[in-house]
Amino acid sequence: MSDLSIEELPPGRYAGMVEKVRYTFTATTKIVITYKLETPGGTRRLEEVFLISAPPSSTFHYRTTTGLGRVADILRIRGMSLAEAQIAGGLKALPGLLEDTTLGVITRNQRLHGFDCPIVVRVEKP
Amino acid sequence: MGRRKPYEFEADPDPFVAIGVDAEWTYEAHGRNLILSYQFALLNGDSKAITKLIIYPNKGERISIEHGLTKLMLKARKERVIAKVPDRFIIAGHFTRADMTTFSDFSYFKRRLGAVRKTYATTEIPLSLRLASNEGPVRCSAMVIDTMLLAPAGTSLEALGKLLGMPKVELPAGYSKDRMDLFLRDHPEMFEEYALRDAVIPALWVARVYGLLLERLGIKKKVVTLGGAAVEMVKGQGTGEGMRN
Repeated sequence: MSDLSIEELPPGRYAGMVEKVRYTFTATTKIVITYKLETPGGTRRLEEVFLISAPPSSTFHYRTTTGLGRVADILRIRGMSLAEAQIAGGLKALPGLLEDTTLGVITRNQRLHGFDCPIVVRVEKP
Repeated sequence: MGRRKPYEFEADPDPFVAIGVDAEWTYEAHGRNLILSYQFALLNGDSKAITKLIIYPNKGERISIEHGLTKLMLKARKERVIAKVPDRFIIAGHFTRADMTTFSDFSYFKRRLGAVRKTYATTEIPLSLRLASNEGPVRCSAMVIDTMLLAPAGTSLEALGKLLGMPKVELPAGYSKDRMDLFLRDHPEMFEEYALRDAVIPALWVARVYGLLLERLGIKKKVVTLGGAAVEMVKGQGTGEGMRN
């Protein structure tokens, strides 16, 4: 069963873009950002899930800072701020503002249940 | 009525996915069993396609449920049974008290399982699992269902298999469930067929029961017991008669 492993993605910086942005709604709101990366082995996709909205009374509220931070990073690459995105329509406008943004994606591998699972460390200007 | 969608950017719904789980072991020492194999069967309820996976642990070393499910998802995607790791799915077994305890991380997730009629099933919060995938870590929630609770009391896996038209593979003469290691040593191919069948039947049974409950009785809830289905029916009829739940 050795063929059942994660496709290796060496840690590094890859040119890419935000391909898709979607949400999951429950009591909290999560944003799912899909990056399309150009790697020496071909096109790869990485997905990140962040909490971006939770009631202030929720114990998860503090976790929204990471998600909003990543959204702010991508917006900054486009020359926008979170406040401007809020004025442009907030959650409804975010997919349109984030998708197709070209950026550089820094990745590393996280050991997860015996697999080297690629994760996004940060995003920066292309 | 379907789930309300706040607007068009909400995640696409996943297909109904049921994963049958089973394990084979043999007695090793007092209070300890040697795990011979873990079997998984992933059923896509929409397409009816199935992926089967058997994992032979190295020297009986137990694997975590997340490790097994990660491998299963990788295989299912490779065989195009599912397009992506589903956000939620059902883990089904026949007598889960025996099978779920074979995983190395049972002590971590056991508090999320409820004890129902001397076996384990999800009664409150589903298991929160973090699986590895080519796209990065994926968080998903899983409900544990015991097919013993979704069948008349005392119904064996063999009987469920017969009802599904997929009879359980018989052990050849001279072999017993107590010494499955001998069966594995002498007939590895037949062992694999036998073991995988035991994982496929619970997955198919769960899909069949939930399908019948929805089509014939209009019960949408993923009930844990047949008694729960009766409660849902009474609730539905009561609401129809103008009674409060």
